[in-house]
Amino acid sequence: MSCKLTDIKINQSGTIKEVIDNPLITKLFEFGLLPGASFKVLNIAPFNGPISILIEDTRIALRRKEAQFILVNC
Amino acid sequence: MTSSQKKIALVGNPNIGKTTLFNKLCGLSQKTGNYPGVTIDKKKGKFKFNNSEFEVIDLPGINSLYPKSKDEELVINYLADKSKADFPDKIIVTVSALNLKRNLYLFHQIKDLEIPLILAINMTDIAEKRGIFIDEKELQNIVGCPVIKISAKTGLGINNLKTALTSELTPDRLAQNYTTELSSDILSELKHKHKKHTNYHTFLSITHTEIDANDILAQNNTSARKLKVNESILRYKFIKSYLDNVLTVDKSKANDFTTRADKLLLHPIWGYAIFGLILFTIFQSLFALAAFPMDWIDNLTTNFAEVSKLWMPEGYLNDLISDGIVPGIGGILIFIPQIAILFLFFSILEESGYMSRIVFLMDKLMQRIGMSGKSVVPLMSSLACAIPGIMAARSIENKKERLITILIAPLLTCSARLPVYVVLISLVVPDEYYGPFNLQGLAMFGMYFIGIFASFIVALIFKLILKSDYSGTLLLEMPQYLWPSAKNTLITVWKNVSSFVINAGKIILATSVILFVLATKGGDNFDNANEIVSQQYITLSKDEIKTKVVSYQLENSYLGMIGKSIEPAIKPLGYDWKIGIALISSLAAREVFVGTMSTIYSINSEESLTIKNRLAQERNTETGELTFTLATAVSLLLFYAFSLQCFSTVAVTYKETKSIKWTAIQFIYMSVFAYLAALIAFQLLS
Repeated sequence: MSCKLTDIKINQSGTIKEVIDNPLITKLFEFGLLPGASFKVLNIAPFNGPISILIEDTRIALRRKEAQFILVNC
Repeated sequence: MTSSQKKIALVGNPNIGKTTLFNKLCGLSQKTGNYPGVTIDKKKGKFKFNNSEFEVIDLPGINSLYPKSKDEELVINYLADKSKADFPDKIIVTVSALNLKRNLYLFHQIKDLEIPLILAINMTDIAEKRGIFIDEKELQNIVGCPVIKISAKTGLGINNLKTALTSELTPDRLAQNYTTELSSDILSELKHKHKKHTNYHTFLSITHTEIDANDILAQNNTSARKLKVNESILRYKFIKSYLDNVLTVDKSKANDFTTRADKLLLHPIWGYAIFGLILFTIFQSLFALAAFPMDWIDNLTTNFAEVSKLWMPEGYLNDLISDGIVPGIGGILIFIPQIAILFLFFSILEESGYMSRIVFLMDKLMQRIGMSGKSVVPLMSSLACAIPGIMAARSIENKKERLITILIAPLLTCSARLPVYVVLISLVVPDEYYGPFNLQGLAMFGMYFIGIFASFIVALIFKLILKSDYSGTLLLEMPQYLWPSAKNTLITVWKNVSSFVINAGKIILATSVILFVLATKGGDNFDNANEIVSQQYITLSKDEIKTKVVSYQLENSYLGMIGKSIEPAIKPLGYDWKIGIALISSLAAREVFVGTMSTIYSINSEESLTIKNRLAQERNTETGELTFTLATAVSLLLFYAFSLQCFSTVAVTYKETKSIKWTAIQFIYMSVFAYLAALIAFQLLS
């Protein structure tokens, strides 16, 4: 089953399945948010703030707006 | 510069200790940039090794050669143009051992630009403690350029790095691994046609649509966008193909301190509480700690002026130095303690990795008022000085968020306002305690609050007016927490303080000389002051006449004439022509206000007093009332809080926005705001 990265709760992990085409896809890829990469959600800022995830060995923070484009296995 | 001097550029991702490496290589022999700040603009330094001289250029950290922010664009333009005079002879690409895979991405992009380069793997000592081992020999064989393990903090491997810099570098070219759609023959052909230096530079120009290659793209069934997306996939694939051979990770040694610390530091409640506590500590230190050295500097300047007056032969030069230059310079030296403390904290926050957490915590709140979490760092820098603040806004990807940050940054209380505030507050607020709070401290806190509040309101207004675009978002790496190095922190503080003193000092020295000359020269009335006054006041004693002459002279000096001519405009704000002179002279830089006031009033008084006492005794020459009443002081405080009296800020806004329109809007809205606020305050209070 697949869901959006924004649906994942803190401390849950999984792998990225697909990144829906969007104006920032290149940037997301360059930060290692590539299909097949494994991740873990570390922190979520309150009031729908950004999400911090561990992707491979790097911690990346991104806004929910972009996280929506990332489909993950769950 | 000698021809034997080699230019070395430092390139790398943000947060990999590049600035630490720069400090390690160059120590204190760095050219202080035009403005203080963390990593802004190109920073240059020098070092010698084995009789060779090197000039090192530290570039801002970038994530890739695909520009999304102004910072990245600047670095890319610098690296792409080999014909430029300041093009580097060699590049050190710095990567972090803690984050090898992602950092190698940028390394491979730069390597394809075919500039002689060295790969320096930083933080290897920390990595090994955390069970991360890198086989640099194997990596060297794969990537085809020298690979050197270093620790910029401890100095490990720095000599190896310097030795590598002295040798000839002829990097191997790797097989093309960034595109499969365009063959290297096609790229070569385009390279010659468009006079690019390398195939990869040609490729970048196509993806930035700088080269129009639509026909060729269509023939190969691709587009600029597809090329770019595929580049990142292909490069990571390539890195992955060899990474296991060079990198060994012993998971049992893994230290997950960062994740655990983040649970607390990014906590929805505790995270903000801790951030608030950090801010509170910074401001407490700014006032409680800085107050003592500031007093010493003030007294020292006063004493120095007295001594120089006594010891030098009497005459115009003596007056110029003791009444013009010394008080003027004193006005700038008094900043040093606060600037040093502010940059000390910033440097620690930056190096420890906490700055990124502030971005994370504040992003959503800042978005409400049209900015980004990344605006917090420029805005905090603006509490020291708006110039590094405005320049630091380069890291913000979204154009609208960046513009708003630039427009409101000068509303925040910069350290140039502090001496003005300190003097004015001490005139009207008693130095007493209300419970544990010092009243003057509270008033100062209130001025900071006014600045922050005003900036948020103005940001909100701009957010509603300006159109949005989708040019960028927030994507940032949250580095692992590290202990800041004391030496590195101190170098950063020293650099910022010295460049501030030198730059502001130049302006202040010039203004204080000009002011002194204007105040001591005048027309006929000035020259004949003695006779005019003695004729007017025949009944007065000799001493009384002497005082009258001095103030008559000041009124009829060129400076007095300027002040008088603007008096009608500033009278509703509660200012006399003397304050008018200070306003005009501080148009170039706010901090000049205090220097000007002390220059004007030293001309007018016999004894040397501290600035504060001199102003407190000042009375209107016509009415005999105190010049600095509560209403006037509050009006002046608000005027200085909102007006853009800083030519350097105007210049830097123009430089950063490349727009006369926005530079003008910033100057005008702040001036109007300042005038109205001061007018309302004075009319209500008097």
